[in-house]
Amino acid sequence: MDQTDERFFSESFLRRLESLALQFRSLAKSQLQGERRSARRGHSIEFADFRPYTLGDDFRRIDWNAYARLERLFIKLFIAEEEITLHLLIDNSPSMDWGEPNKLGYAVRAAAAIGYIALVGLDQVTAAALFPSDGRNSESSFARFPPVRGKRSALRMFSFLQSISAVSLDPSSEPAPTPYRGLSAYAAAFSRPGSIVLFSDLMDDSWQTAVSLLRSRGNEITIIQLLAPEEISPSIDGDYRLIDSEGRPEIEISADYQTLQRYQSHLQEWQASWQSYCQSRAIAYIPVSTLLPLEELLFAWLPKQGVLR
Amino acid sequence: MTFQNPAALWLAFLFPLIILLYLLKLRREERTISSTYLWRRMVQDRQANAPWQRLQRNLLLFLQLLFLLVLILAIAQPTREAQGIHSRALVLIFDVSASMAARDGSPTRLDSARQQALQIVEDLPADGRVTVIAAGISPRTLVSLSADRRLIRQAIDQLQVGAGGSDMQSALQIAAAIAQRQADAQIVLLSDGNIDLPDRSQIDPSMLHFIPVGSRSENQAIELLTLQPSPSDQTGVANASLTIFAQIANYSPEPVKRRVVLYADGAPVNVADLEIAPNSEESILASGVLSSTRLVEARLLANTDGSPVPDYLDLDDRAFAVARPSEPLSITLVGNGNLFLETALSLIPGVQLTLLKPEDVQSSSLTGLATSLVIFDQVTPDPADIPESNAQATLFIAPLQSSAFFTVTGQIALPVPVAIEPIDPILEHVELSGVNILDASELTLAPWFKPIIEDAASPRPRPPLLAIGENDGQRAAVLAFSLNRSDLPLQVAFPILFSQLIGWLAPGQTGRIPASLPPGAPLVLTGNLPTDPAGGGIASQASNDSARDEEIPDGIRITRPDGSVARLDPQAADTNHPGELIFADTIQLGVYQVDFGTGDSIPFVVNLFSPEESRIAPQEMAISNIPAAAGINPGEQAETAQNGAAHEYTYPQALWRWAAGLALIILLIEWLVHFRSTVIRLTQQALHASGQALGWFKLRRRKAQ
Repeated sequence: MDQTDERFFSESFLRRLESLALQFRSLAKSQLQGERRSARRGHSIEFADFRPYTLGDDFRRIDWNAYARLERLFIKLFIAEEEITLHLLIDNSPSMDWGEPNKLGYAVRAAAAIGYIALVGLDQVTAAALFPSDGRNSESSFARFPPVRGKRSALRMFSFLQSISAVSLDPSSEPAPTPYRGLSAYAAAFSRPGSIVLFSDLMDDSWQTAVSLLRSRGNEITIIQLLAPEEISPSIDGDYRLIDSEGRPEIEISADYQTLQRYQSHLQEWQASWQSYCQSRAIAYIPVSTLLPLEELLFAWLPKQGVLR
Repeated sequence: MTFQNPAALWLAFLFPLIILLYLLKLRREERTISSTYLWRRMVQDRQANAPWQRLQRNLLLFLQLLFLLVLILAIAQPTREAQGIHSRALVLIFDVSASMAARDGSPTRLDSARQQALQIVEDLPADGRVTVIAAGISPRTLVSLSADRRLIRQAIDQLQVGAGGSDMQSALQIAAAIAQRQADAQIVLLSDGNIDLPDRSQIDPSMLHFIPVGSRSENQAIELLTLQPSPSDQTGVANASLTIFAQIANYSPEPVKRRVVLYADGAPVNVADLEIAPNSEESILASGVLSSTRLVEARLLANTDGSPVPDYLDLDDRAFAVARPSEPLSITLVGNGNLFLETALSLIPGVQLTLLKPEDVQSSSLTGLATSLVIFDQVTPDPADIPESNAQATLFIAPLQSSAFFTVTGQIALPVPVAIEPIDPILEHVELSGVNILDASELTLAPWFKPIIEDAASPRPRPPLLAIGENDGQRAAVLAFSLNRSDLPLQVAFPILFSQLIGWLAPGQTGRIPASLPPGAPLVLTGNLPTDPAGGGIASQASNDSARDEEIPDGIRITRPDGSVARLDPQAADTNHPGELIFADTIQLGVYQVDFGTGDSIPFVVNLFSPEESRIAPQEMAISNIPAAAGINPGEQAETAQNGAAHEYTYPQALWRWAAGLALIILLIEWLVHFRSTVIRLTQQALHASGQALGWFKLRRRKAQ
């Protein structure tokens, strides 16, 4: 481990992480027989159930012992032991590189921790930053960490995650870079559905359609929404011209008590709408303030949401 | 509204500055945030509130501009023309002369003045101090620099019209003395203008305000009332009839008819209907009044036809007179004959002169003589011959030998007579400068003698040429030179001097009390204040205390016209003027009775008889630099006064305090508006906390139950 990694996670913290394991709520299709239990029955050594033979079933899986007893053909079903790819998607839009503690930094650390847990669990892990560094949506320049497996790859994954930086979006570029475009470009890059953990502040209207796209491909999605404390409860008072870090039009506000109250109620409404949206699609939605210690997120919040165990 | 400091209005250039700053401020503070995504969602909702937002922003600007405006106004020191007299040291001079009793005020002029003064006092600043001076015959300071409003009101309420004129000059001097010591002093003169005011006044005209009262001039007055022996009876024969003479003046601009009734000892003796032209007089003569009449009264009554009379002053509608027949004065002259002296004495009315040769003088005959004055002309009597009775005075002229009163030490040749005190009443109208004296006796007098004329040619101590004195109530005088060896008898001064000298030596019992006094003039009782009809008592400092106390338990009683009694204690006489008692409380008009304890009282009267006061038409102040009040000419003045409107002055009332206070309030509101969110938050937090505390207490109580 080089110096950067040392600072990234301490040895003891990594050891504690090894006690955690990923949990998948739905079986993901997989060609390979991995070690991961899946709700989907498949080729495995662990018996699950019988079902009557139907035309076209593999003869090899007929339970002849049962035929001998019952004179009827049954197919033995086994629990599919699958290998599932964990996708760590980090929203590296400029709005993420903001806040104290920094949202992007928090996302990177959280992604690294979850990725490490997955690697330890012998799952395939891949990571990507949603926006390419030139601010354009082109597949070629897509910053992606290729799928790896095993604990040995952790350091490489860490250094890739650390290298993710916020890009400066160019709204004038055609087509304009949006989360939707980024996600659809990413989704196009891999064919098999996997478990996607998305780190983002979700501050764009196209996020929901983007998430819908991923979900429609059968991916299991966990959204970790990161908000800086300053975004949850802005501490401004007076007249301001608010400048968008992503180049959206500026907004003039007179921040007084009512305004801030209204802001917060809007924020809660917004989060509630995400909550219900995700709930209806079996998406884990976890809003997190960057003030929350990473340990608490990993050891308390995510197990509670069924992401880790 | 005017400004004391209009230059401050230039500060208005700050208005554009504020607006400029505001425009600059409208370039809001820029803040880069992660995303305006959430804010935009909120702003869409906020669009409905946009006008209010703008208004709020403009509200701050408006408040700031308003604050600046009020502040500039405050600095410019705005003043309002406030009505009234504004002063921290107010001197109120009330004219309490008789004319202030005229009933053309509310109801009298003094009442009008009173009301206006009370209004002025009411409008004074809280720390204003007030001095109240009643300018009567002699000015009185009733309240001096008092801030006690109750005391001031009381003093003003208790003001009374005096019967005489007003000594406004002295009052103004007092006021000026007070005003000089005080900053921001104002002198307010409340008068009908019928006052003597000197042209030269050391008072700054700007601090002197004249508030005129009164409006009418209709008045008739009894100007003169006398009771004298009838002209045909000038010989002094007893039982002669008396004549009443009365003079009535009409000060109205219209001719009037007035009925005058004369009463003698209470009974009407004459009624006359007079028709008096404007500003002229009519007189009545009523002869044949009984000589026993002691008191005469004249009254002005209503018109003969009973119609109301325009007469606004009542004080001068009644007058009194007492009969004061000249008392016979018995003088005994002991000498070898002196034509000058005898002639001079015989000219004094009522004198009964007895001539005695020195050799005829015997002690018994002198003592027994019913004589008031014994004159020893160039004769020095035996000590036994000198009268000892208090009723008998002694005059020595050119004594040759020493006596108990003096010692003759030599002769002075060609003395130069000069008066020691030029204003001595005995030397009044006596011109000594042309008097030549050949020689005079050089005398050493008893210590109780008071030299009046001395020899200016001799070295000090100069020998006296004329001295008077009083020893145990007995009066005596010494003239050091012989009338024959001087040209004094040829001078005009001679009969005057002797008349006054004799008057002092033998005033007579009633002669000391004048028949009539002007209001406020002191009644001086001098000499042998008799305590019994025999005149044997002594009323002076040196007399035997026990004896006097038995004889005059009440002293001298003077009954005023209103029935109140003043008691003069001879003991209280001024030690500088032994045997002299002064009664100065003669401000009431009418008949006074002086009772020496004998039961037989001697009356004297006090009448107004003052054309200055009877001419009640309001007048301008005599000095021109006193700013006149609202009404300039008497006609306008009269109308204003009749309408009951107060004469008002204006003064610049400073308003900057109000403006500054308003600015402070605006500043506070501006601050609240600016920090409204904080204020609301704090309030809600406080409410929340208190609600929690309340809930906790309720919980506790429930648990306790």
